Amino acid sequence: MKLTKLFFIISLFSLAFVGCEIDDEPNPNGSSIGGFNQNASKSELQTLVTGIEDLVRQDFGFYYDATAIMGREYYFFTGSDPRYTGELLGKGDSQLDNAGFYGTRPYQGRFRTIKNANVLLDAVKNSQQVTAEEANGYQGFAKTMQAHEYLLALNLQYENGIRIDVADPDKLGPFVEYNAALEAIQNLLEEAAGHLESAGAAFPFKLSAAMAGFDTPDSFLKFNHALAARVALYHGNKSEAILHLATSFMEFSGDLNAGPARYYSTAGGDFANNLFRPQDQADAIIVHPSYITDLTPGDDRAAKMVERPSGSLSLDGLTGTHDAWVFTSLDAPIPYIRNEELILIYAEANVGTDNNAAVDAINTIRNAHGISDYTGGTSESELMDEIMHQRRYSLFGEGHRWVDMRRWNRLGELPIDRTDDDVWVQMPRPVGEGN
Amino acid sequence: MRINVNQRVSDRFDINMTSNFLHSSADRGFFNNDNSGTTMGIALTSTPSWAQLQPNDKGIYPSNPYAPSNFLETAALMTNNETVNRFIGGGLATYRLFSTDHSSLKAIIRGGVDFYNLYTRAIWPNTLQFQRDGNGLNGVSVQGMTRNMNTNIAAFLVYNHILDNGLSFNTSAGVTQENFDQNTILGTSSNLIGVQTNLDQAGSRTTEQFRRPQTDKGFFVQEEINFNDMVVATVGVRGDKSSNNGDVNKLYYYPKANMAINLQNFDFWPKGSMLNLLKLRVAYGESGNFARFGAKSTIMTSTIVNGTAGVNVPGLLGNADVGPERQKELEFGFDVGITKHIGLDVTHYIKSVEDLLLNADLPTSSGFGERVTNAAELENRGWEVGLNLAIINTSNLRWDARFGWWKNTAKVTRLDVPAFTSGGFADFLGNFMIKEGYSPTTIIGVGDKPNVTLNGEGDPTLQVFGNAEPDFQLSWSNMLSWKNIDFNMVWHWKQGGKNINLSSLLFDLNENTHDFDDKGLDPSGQLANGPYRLSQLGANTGPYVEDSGYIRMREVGLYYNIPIKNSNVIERVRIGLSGNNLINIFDYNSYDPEVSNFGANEFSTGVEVTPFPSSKRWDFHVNVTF
Repeated sequence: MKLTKLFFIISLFSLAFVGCEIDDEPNPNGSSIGGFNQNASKSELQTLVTGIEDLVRQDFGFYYDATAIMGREYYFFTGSDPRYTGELLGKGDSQLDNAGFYGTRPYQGRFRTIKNANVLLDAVKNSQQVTAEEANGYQGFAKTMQAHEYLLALNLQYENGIRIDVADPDKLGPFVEYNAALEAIQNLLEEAAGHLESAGAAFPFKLSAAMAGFDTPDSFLKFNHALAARVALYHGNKSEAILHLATSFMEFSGDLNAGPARYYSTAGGDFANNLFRPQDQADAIIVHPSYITDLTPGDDRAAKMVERPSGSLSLDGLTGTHDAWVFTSLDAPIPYIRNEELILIYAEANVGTDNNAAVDAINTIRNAHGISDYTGGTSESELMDEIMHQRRYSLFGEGHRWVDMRRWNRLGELPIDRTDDDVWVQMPRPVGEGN
Repeated sequence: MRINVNQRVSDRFDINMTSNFLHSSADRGFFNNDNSGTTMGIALTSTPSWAQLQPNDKGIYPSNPYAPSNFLETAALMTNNETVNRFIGGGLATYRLFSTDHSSLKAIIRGGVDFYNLYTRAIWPNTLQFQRDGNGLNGVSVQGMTRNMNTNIAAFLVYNHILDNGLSFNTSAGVTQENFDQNTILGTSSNLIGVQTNLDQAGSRTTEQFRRPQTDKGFFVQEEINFNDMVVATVGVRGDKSSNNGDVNKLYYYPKANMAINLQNFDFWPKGSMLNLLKLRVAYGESGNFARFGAKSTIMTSTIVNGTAGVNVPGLLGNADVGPERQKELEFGFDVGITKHIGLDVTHYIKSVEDLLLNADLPTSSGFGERVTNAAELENRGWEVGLNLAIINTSNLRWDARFGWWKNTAKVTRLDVPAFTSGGFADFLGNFMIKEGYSPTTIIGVGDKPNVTLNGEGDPTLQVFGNAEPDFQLSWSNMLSWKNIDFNMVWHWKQGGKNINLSSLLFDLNENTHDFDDKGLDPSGQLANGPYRLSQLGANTGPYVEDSGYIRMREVGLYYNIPIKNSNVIERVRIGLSGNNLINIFDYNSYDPEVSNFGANEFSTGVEVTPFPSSKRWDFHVNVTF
């Protein structure tokens, strides 16, 4: 019987088919992380470099929003989350939540960048396809970016400290307290500078257009020193800050907005600047009223605060009249650090040692914004007051006010809008981080 | 459309083929949580009742001054559609190798194919409030195609042996294989050209693809012993392996055994007794759930910066040791039949899940968010009681009813990772606590009487506000027929169980809650309900954790069978009208207590953020049988 035979053949075939081994096929949906350690090519290394330029943008908007709200720079009025006007301002009895997105996401985002850079560092170490000089280029870039991201995480966590050794997910290093973490970041920048100094004339990889002017080892090194100046200032090492500024891209007569930046675009697959919010909407970023009151007449930084045509907006017992207007389009880049901040660091670092230099720097900022030379007193405290004022307006909405007031021990001077509101000193350590 | 074919090839050889083709198309809304106020539900929470949102005489909708979107416009102009074409086919070939009076041996091959094509289309035209005038992306079109092909094949032998004393043995053994192959391509375009919706008619385009190949293989052996239908017992074991496991060729074994005793079939049972069925049964079985596809590897995600492609570390760290979770179930109970009018079945079960797969949070300073880990053990205990009643049974009138009552209690009995909260948005907004010794659906929040600490011995930091699991559930279904008229009705009663009602919070924040100005909630009697709830925000989660019990008429239907006389063509004609969810009785402060913002996630049910409610539906039926 033919059919019977056929049936047996099919049976045997299917038994054999089922009985055999399953192949452990690679996941078809992307590169496996381990693959980068197997003699990576330059094009593979490029993808990791570009990944770092992407990750600096991920969950970063929360960093600016949270620090600006806690620093009383602006409110975020939105019907979709009560925490922007609640916990972040310490409304009533509410506390910051160690699982709240405003603290956990910007923290997690920074450590993802750091991890990507660690994958790049490992990949470079295990690649025979790059010269020693090229390897220095990758390492100088990766470590500078890591230092920047550690600093942002530390700004949020402050005295909680942060982990510095995060290379092995199953064996994370201890939390390092604030000052030691600043030192570790400064050391990392120094290591990176060493790499950049022996990285030849060009990077073996490409950076985005937002890094134009900072995309060779030489020019990137100026960015590295700019960050080092900021870290030194935070650490109270003013003379060290001045030294770093000298080798940074600080330029008194230059464009105040000059500086390396995160790239944003609405092109397909790219990432749009989500800190851009259209004006005069019901969901809005509203400038803290104190900024409108304290503005010097004629100060062109008023352009960052646009009066709402539809009038004032209120939510949850808070009211404001101006939309914050710092990032004016979906593809506006967000600088890591700008010439304007460097000049202000220069001013602050010189207070007490060279007050004339400080006043010069202050006047550079004032004149650039359409206001006349500084005529106030030149005592240390008067100069600091003036620098605080200039930093407040020059760096509005860029994550500085809250950090500055904290390092000046002046958080208590931030305005309280509702009776039981609080000014927070730091974000709680994210849940799940352990001790 | 179904076609079933049975073909008897010879005395020894049968082929049975089934095939089923389905086409379905479903339109959906635009709901649940968002942070931009563009979904219909969120926009509704901030829009007061006097807002003018109707279109003008040219059909143009005004902008909603109270929210980023005009939900009437959104509902009228957006598209969110899923269309499925699906073919399910199967074949069973049986060959009798030999057959005597006492024994037979059959070889069986069974194969099946499930193929479907899913087309999803979500279109937000650039005329919408949140897309026009620079308020958004100037129109978005998202279209996806999923091609899914699942195949399975099993080959087994079945040996039957009957002894003279009525003892029969049924032995079967075989091998199985299942293959899954899913391929999804999704295109997202924004900055649309005019009213065009094709993905290429846009200024900005992205594409994503996801492939999910999976192969499972296994074998089974089973022995069933039946003694004159008095005692029926089965023992068996199966072994399974899967490409989703860390070790793809490791076989995991799952035994099972069960026994039923039909006391009414024994000789000592009095003949003609009112009690015509008394069956005692006990069953034990183990089964496995493979890890989700992709759990074992760390796969970089891709990105684009300024035209250059990049890769990012993903949120999910692969676990090379991931294995299946093992479910062990012990179940016992009895069935009773009294006359032909009453049937009762009672079951108690103890179901534990060992090596429970969960996405364990990692310290995010690792750069990763979570890792799939076999890190917990869960125990479910419950009762199920069914009562079937033939209340009336005459030639003209018949009324059958069934009551089903069930209750389940769950507990985490082992947790290898630190206790954590999950499933909600934040602890102060209500969250679920996963902690050894507690039910995984325990709702916690902040409050002035904290009574539990997640980890460690410190002072309690969290307060338990209840459990999402209901106290019990009861369903009651009825079938009534009188002459040519059929009537059916199903009621469902869920007693207890809590929801986290964040719709209420969003309405409160916008001072739009229906009971905003009513009094009664504030223990001190000072504040109205809305202001009271808001005053507790961040300090006391209680006001937003609500009892979500309900009584609901799930279905009701009335049908008429038109008498057909003298027709050789038409056998039967039936017309009718049915409705779903027509009556809902609940005390819950939103429009539907039966919700989950996060879908049927393992640990998250009953979180409400302006969902699309269960729809009330009327259906008109005409059935003609030829």
